[in-house]
Amino acid sequence: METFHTIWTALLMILFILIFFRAWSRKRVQEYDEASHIPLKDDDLTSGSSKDG
Amino acid sequence: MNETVEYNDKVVQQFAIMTVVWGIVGMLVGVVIAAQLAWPALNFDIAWLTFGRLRPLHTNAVIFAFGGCALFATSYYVVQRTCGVRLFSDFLASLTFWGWQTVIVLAAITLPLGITTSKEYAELEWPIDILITIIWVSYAVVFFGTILKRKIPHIYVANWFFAGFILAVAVLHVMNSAAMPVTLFKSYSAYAGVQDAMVQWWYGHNAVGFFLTAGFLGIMYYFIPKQANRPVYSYRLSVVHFWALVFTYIWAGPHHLHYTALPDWAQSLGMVFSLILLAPSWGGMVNGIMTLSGAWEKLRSDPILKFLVVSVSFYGMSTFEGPMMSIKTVNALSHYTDWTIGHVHSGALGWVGFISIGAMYYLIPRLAGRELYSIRLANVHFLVATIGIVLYITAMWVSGIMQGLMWRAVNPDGTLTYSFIESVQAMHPFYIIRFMGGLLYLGGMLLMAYNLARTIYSPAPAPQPRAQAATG
Repeated sequence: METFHTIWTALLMILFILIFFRAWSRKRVQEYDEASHIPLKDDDLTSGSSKDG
Repeated sequence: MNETVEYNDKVVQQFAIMTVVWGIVGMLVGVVIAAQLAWPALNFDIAWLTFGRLRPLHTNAVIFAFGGCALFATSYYVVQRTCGVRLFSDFLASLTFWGWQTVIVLAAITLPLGITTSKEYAELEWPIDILITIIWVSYAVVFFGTILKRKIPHIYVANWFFAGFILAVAVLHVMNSAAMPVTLFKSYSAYAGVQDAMVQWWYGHNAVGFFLTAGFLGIMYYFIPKQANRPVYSYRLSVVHFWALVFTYIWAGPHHLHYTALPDWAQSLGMVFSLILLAPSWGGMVNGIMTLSGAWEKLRSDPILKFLVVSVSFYGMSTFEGPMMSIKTVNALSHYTDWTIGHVHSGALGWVGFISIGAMYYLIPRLAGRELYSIRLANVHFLVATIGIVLYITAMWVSGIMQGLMWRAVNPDGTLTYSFIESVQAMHPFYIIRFMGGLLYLGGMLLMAYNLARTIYSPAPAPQPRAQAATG
């Protein structure tokens, strides 16, 4: 069981490192730039509705 | 892009209004018990008005009623707008509202009656725990169902934080609430001894980490860019912030059990992960504050941004203080003292309270289709509440450190320098200052309620062309 926990912890750490490098990859620059503008694109004064749920 | 989407804002509005209502109730109970600590006769010798009964009512009301309603409201609002679709199920969304209010009312009845599991922040007895589980699963279905049917391919980072919060709280609640019912109002934990303590503080700390941090970071990552009208400072940092936080937070719980029967290695592990947490926490704080880069002048006139940005400052402050307090030598002084209460309230009043207040000032006028009744009142609220927090936390810091130093002071012959009652007497002035700080914060909430009520009941603005409305 301890061996399993050790391997699992190491795998999670490797996964985190991969996520870190993926986030910092130059390939993501444009995607993230567009994503960062998502909240600014919705015009909640006009598109929102109080229609009964 | 969203012109044809009709969002379910009814449930958002319901939760938003109840955020204000439960905020006032929970904070009023907090002020009452703060007064009781300064003037104990105020419990009037009535069992259900005693500190021991009302304190869990206060914590449950502010965390799960006030904070919970704020999280439901904002997550439902954000997920619809960042996915470009209506909520997955109106029925389940409505069920979460009425179910959550039922849980709160049941808590308000059972806790003063002394019906409790005695687990901190998980005091509610097993029938209510089952109800919470049903509501939480419904919440998860609504949230993740909305994500699944999204029209915008990218899942915006705020939704990742909300998703992490929903999943983690589900696991924490089910694991920590595992119990053997004896009667309708009494159960015993499935765990015993130090394992029970470990599970409890794994739950307790991650209730802070996921309920009071991850969820509210979701609010930060949507409402600060929205109100500042600027994209988040670094989106890649926000992604790393999320994953670093969820990978790290879950390990930090044992720092609540320093110098107990918990194995020493587990205590040290909790301490180390608490110290590591400083990095993602401050990364997130810098990201939130720097989103205003180039738009700092808005802070002079916009009370919503003031609340949001100062909340992030308090987030930074309390996430610095927390890791410091988890260091075992520091904890030897701080544990069981009012320093902990000061630390908790810098996070609760400053971070959770202010970001929720900022979000409600943003949401409620928009949902009502009105301008905020009084910007000036909102500014007064900000000022009063900030003074209240400063009074509260500085009083508790001074009181707590003094308390710790008095408890550990020894004479040359090895006897204690101070008796316990002498430390209680020394804390009395600070208890009064804390009460005054809490009273100011509550006063600010009442101003907010008045301001928002006047907003909702003000005459509807004259209809105007959509193009003009969009610029408003």
